[in-house]
Amino acid sequence: MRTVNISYQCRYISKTVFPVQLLMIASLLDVGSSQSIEDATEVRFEDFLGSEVCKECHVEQYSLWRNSTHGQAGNEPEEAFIIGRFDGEPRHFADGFVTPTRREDGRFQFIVERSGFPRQVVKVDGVVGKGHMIGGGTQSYFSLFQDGTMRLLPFDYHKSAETWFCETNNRQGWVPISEKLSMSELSEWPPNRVLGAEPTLINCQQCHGSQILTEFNEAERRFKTMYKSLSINCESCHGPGRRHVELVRAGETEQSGDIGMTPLSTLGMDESLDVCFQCHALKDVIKPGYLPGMDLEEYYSLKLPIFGENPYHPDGRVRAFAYQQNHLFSDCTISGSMTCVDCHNPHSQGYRNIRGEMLKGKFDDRQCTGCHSGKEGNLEAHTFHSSDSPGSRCTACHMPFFQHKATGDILPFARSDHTISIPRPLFDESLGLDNACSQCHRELTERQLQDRMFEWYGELKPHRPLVSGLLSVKETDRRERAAELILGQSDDPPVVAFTGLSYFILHYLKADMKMVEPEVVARLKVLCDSDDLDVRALALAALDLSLGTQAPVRKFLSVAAASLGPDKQKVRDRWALVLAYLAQAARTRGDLANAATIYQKSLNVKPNDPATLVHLGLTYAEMGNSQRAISYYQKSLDADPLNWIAWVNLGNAYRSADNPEFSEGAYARSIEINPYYAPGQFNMGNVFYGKSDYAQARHHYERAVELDPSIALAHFYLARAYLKLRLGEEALASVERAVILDPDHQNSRMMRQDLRLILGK
Amino acid sequence: MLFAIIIGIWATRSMVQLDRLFINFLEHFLNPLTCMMRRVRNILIFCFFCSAAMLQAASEADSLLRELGCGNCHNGVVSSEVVKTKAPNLSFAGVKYRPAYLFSYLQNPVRVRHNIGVARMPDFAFDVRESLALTFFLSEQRKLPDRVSPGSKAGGAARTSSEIHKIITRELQCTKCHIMAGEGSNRATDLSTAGYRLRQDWLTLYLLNPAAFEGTDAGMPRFFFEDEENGASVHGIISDAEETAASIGEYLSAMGESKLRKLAAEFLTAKKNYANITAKMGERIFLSQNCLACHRLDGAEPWFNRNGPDLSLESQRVRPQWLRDYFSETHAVRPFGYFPGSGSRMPDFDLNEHEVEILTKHFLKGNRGIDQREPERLSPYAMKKAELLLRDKLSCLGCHRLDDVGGRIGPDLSRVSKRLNGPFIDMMIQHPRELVPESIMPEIAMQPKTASLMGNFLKQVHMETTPLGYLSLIDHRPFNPKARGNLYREYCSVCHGIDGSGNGYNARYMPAVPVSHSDATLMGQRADDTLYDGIHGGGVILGKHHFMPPWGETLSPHEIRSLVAQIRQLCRCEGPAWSR
Repeated sequence: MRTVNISYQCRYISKTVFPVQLLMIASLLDVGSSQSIEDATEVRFEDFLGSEVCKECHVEQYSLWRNSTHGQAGNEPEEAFIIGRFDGEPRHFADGFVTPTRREDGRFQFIVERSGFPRQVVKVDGVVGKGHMIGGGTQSYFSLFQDGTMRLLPFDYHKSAETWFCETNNRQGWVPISEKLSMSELSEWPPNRVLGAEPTLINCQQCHGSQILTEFNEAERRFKTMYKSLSINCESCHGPGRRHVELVRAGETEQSGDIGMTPLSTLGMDESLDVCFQCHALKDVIKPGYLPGMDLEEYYSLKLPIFGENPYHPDGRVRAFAYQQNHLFSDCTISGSMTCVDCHNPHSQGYRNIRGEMLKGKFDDRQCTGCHSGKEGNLEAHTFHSSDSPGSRCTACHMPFFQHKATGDILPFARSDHTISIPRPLFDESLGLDNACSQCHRELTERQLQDRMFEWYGELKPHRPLVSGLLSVKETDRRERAAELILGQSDDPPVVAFTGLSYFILHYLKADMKMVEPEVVARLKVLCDSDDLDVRALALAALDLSLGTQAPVRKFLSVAAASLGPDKQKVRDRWALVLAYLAQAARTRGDLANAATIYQKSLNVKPNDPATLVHLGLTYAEMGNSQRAISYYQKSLDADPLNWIAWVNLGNAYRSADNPEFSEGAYARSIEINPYYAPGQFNMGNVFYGKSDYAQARHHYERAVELDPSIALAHFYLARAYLKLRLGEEALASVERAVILDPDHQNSRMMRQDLRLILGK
Repeated sequence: MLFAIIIGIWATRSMVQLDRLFINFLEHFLNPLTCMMRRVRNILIFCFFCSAAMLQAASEADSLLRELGCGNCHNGVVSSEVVKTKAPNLSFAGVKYRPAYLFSYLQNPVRVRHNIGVARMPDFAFDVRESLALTFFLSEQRKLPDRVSPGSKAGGAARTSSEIHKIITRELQCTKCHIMAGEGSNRATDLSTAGYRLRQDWLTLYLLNPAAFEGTDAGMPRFFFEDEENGASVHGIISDAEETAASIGEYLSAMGESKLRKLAAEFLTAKKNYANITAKMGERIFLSQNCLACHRLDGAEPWFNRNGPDLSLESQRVRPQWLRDYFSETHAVRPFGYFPGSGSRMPDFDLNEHEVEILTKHFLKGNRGIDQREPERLSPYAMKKAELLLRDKLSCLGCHRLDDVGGRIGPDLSRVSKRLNGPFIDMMIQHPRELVPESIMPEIAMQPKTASLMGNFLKQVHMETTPLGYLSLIDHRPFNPKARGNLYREYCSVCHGIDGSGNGYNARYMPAVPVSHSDATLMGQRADDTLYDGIHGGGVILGKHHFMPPWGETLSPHEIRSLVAQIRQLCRCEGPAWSR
């Protein structure tokens, strides 16, 4: 009998899945007040009070915020907020249909009827988005599930296209619902992506609402999803307000300069950017539990998403899907000091210039000429367009709207290019980008446009050396040459240095190499001194991966690790994570020996990491070494005894080692901790099936498919249990689902054929 | 009141008589009126006396200001030709003064002549090196008046000391005006000091023809020669004039010998300790302090017409107590010149209490209209926020010091609340050049809320910091920032250096080294437009330090372009090829 081995979901999912869908949340929580005013060191969920409290004093700011895109970013499912058409009309798929409708009590819901599956009614518990974005605005819907998670529903609404659409799992991107689309192509059906940065589940992190925390509650044996609001509230940027409010109400701010908050207007560039990058950035989770006001870099890495399937082109423009974080590639940030709030009013999300003067709108030139004042006086001399033409707008050429390719080409999802690029028609074409000039001048070819650019401007400003290196590095197989091209110096922009280093590791380094050229090692060592945590960690991981077993490098790494100072844990977390990514990649391509080696390196950097120990155990399990797998699962459980995933995998390993008694105990423990974990139920079904207790097996299988209807094997095994219980109709229905989910599964197909004959279907 | 003031002005020289006339006028015409009118009368009488007192004080103040020569450095005050006749002509300082004495005197100027009224040489707080440089420079000034021949000197006649003493005290009756060894009247100089102050040769020349040095109006009589009527030549009054004069010179020199030895020793030590000090440095110091405002020096061209603030707005500008304290004991407000880079100082005139009071009252005329109310009280948080903004976001501290951070171009902000009036602070933040046209303080586009916060902060900030001192005129080379209309010199060189190498005098107080505009490699990577934008928008938009201010609201596009051109001259480079 087969088992289902489960690994942690979220940590590695960002390497392959683009988080194009918005996330959802569940329940509102009350506000605690046990923390004393003096205690300002710890940020807790209870310390967030919500925007209505802020309104009491900050009326003007509240008023601006209330009508802003942040203030209107999400909501409870109320009629005034909903833009999707819940009109009761079915929208047909190839294999079913969904009907957005309202209950008699007015609540919004989707009725899903998929061929072969029971009719499902999914209520809407949360709404995110209101179609604000002019490049393509959408609205997404979330529902609270029985395991306590708030899950994204696959049916989104596109405002300008006025259509329901779904994200697909086969890289078509966003596709309107039609009879050409199968429900098996939907990436979110059954709903699987949860609100909150819960590492054991696919998740959308914490951005589509305020102070989202999804945590497993041991006592209730289920998750608890907490948030303050589905809009982006004041405290999302300003941090927890409780202490501030208490100090003000107690009149203590009159006595001291402490208001219990940091004034954001005094932040430096990096700190200011981090406020926005809490959400407007692709991030990898370092550890869960982040709340505004905490050290963002302790919980998230802002550059690790580049490592692997880079969402950006070498010059930072969006290749697949991203947020506005790529303005880190812009000259305005690298050579200037541009922050988000230099152009965006953080309260109204209106537009302003660097001096804070409000502007008419997002295409107002003064966003740019506030700094680039040299162009202001004689605009036409720079634009070669009439000053009142759209072609003379700064944003038309330097911040064109590019469709994010991960969303496909059918529905608009274009976002303004925050790398503030220079139009280079031929180069842009080579990247597959629709260049800025073409957006107006469709009649001209890229060659013609390029010639015109040359005629007007002559030689264009060259890319940065590292960007040029990244564009040309594919032409060389020589590691030393590649290092010259793409390994930066300590003064290179961190995001570019990280991009180059990422590419270098993935293409020119392997585990435990016999030799790496001294010049290359020297360059890597330079990057180990970077002020940027991500770059430093990546460089350390590169040396550790390739030459970590050789004495000189080992010594260098030891010294480097000992001198990380206050950033020690943050660097080590990243360093270990990079190695774990590399190990996972090796495991995915079947290189299990290397995977085990690299996992072990990761554990050397961050010993006893429960997730990595599970992965190393899985690697040994796949190598057929159950005993070693068991030992690593045990170590994982020593570090985290409530790790229900490790318990299931331990059960599987005991089963492989012919120790059914221990196996059953492990599964039972998993279910005892988290009864909503489908693989635990499934494997427990297998135990009872093996013991010929088909009723109990049926119970667990039914629970497994209820919790996760996408496990084809669970449907098949459930069919077998039904047969043992002489429930032919139920068995046929179940095996039909197994075949729908996995058409290539021969045993399912054979069973279905036999049952159809027997039952005359 | 206006009526009273007009009358007061009309009758400036007959104050007592006017009092009587005016009171009679009021009595005759207003007495029959009602009680209310009597009150008006009383008010008018009160106002009249006030104005009369003010006029009297004003008159005294004007006289004092003229004697001190304040208007020769400050606008808004009557300028003074008087002081130029009283201050020594320095064209022949090298012939006249003993260097050791000059060196000592410059460090500690004391009253020497008692025949020049309240005029005096103020204390510029020169240190040893600065005094040394000035001494070297002044010692090079050896241009004698046309009618004086340096060769016309004779040896002293063979007379005893008592004979010479007798000549001085009885025959020439010098002690009628001079004091000498405690004998005589101290209405001119103390002859006991002449020996160590003045060169013996010069003493002889001077005694023979003082008018040639000081003009015919000088108080020193001519004992030995007198001019022909046409002034073309002189003829002797006594037969052995030159020998007698030389004897007196010898006698006086001998009197100062021991003091001179001491001064010479100090001077020698200084020369040894500071061998790098040159007369050229002294020349720059001489010009930087606008010494020509009072002294003559043939061939020298002053850097400035005026080199201090316009004092006509003083009553609007400064707080009374601060002004009173400042007159009592001046201190550095702008550490390296009113025109930044010039190094000019406000010297200490050692005013007595009466003078302080006279001047304070004079400058505070009209002060009653100033809003002296307490500013909107900021919470401690708002004060902290304002300080954070100043330290971390705004460019103000590029020029001004606040606590332990900031430049030395403008006044210290740590205690500016004690110095300036609130409305003046507000105006200065928002429109500095409208208030002080010659200031280089840039106008910074600030949100009204921020400007208000800054204004209120500065009106109440009081940090206990070490008072600013003047910057060394040796360690920092003073220059004329207004010379030749050179914008770079005026606006940029204080931080970036006159040659653009990033070493202006203010650079050492900046947390980041100012960019070297003479670095061709660096500047060759920057497009002209980038330089323009940086000047216009400030350092922050180029990712540089926020202490570099934005000049876009202050300089015209043409002026910014000309600064870019000057930077290109300094680096002798062009922007990158793609940018041309």
